[in-house]
Amino acid sequence: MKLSGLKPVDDRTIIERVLKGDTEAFNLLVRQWEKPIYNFILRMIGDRDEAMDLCQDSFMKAYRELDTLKDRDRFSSWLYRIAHNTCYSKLRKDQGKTFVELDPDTRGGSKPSIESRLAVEKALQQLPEDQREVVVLKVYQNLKFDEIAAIQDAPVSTVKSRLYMGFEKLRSILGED
Amino acid sequence: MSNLNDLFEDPSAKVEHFKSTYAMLKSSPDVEPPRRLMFEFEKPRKASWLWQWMAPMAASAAVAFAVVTFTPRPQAPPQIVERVVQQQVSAPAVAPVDYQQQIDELRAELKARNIAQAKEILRVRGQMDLMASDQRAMEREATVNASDIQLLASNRVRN
Repeated sequence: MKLSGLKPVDDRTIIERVLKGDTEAFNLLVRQWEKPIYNFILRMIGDRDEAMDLCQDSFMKAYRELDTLKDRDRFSSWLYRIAHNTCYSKLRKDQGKTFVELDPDTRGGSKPSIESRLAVEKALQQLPEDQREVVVLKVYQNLKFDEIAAIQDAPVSTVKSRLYMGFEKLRSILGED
Repeated sequence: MSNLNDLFEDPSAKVEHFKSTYAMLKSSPDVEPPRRLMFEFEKPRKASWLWQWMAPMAASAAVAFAVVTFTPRPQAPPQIVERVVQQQVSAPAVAPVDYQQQIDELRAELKARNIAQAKEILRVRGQMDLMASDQRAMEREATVNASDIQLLASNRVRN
């Protein structure tokens, strides 16, 4: 199936096609959401290979449970929720383990940018998981507070509080560097 | 002490700190996944031509059988009417009664019997006449005998 030439299609339309039996159309959803989901998982887990595997697991789970999605206009929140569960499951399993830092040479870009990125990634990994997730979803994925609340299954006030505390901690960590 | 200082921190300064933190976070942009995900879905295996035809044929046969089995039969009353009609037609027809013929037959029968009885009466009358004639003959003979006896008795007395 050739995907390169296709225009971005509404998630709802693609979901309806998939549910009607056009299973190949699911690759359109993968194509649209692969990068954001991968980066979300990468920032949560901190390991590229693990992030790629978990990203694939998340999409497979999404495909299997696509018919349970009630509000098809909220596919992205639902997909992030699946990725959240996948990440937390992995984090609980690997509690105590520390991932090796990403190889700076593989990321490309100029030297100051690499240092800055590494500092940010290191700081992010020092945050508690719930605060890290809120920061990632708000800063990088531009999700609304109610969407993040739905993903974390927590009140919006708790999400805001986590974001505030996460920023405070990041400021102190990054200020030290 | 630092917490106390935080409480009295200038809000605008705090906003600036948050902005700088946000800017640092944003300095780490999204990266491309190391490989592209592409799912291949197993297509349902194509059935052989025999099964492609057998399945609809079996379904059709099942439907036809169900229709024949469960369709209500035509109502019975017309059959009953028909049977009654057939019975009427097939039963031996009752011939119309010919009363005149019966009267004639009875008359003929009665006439024959009358003739026979008349003959019998004539025969019996003939026998009765014969017996009366014999009786009269016997009476005459008795009278003759009596006269003969009286004659003999008188002769004897005279003798």
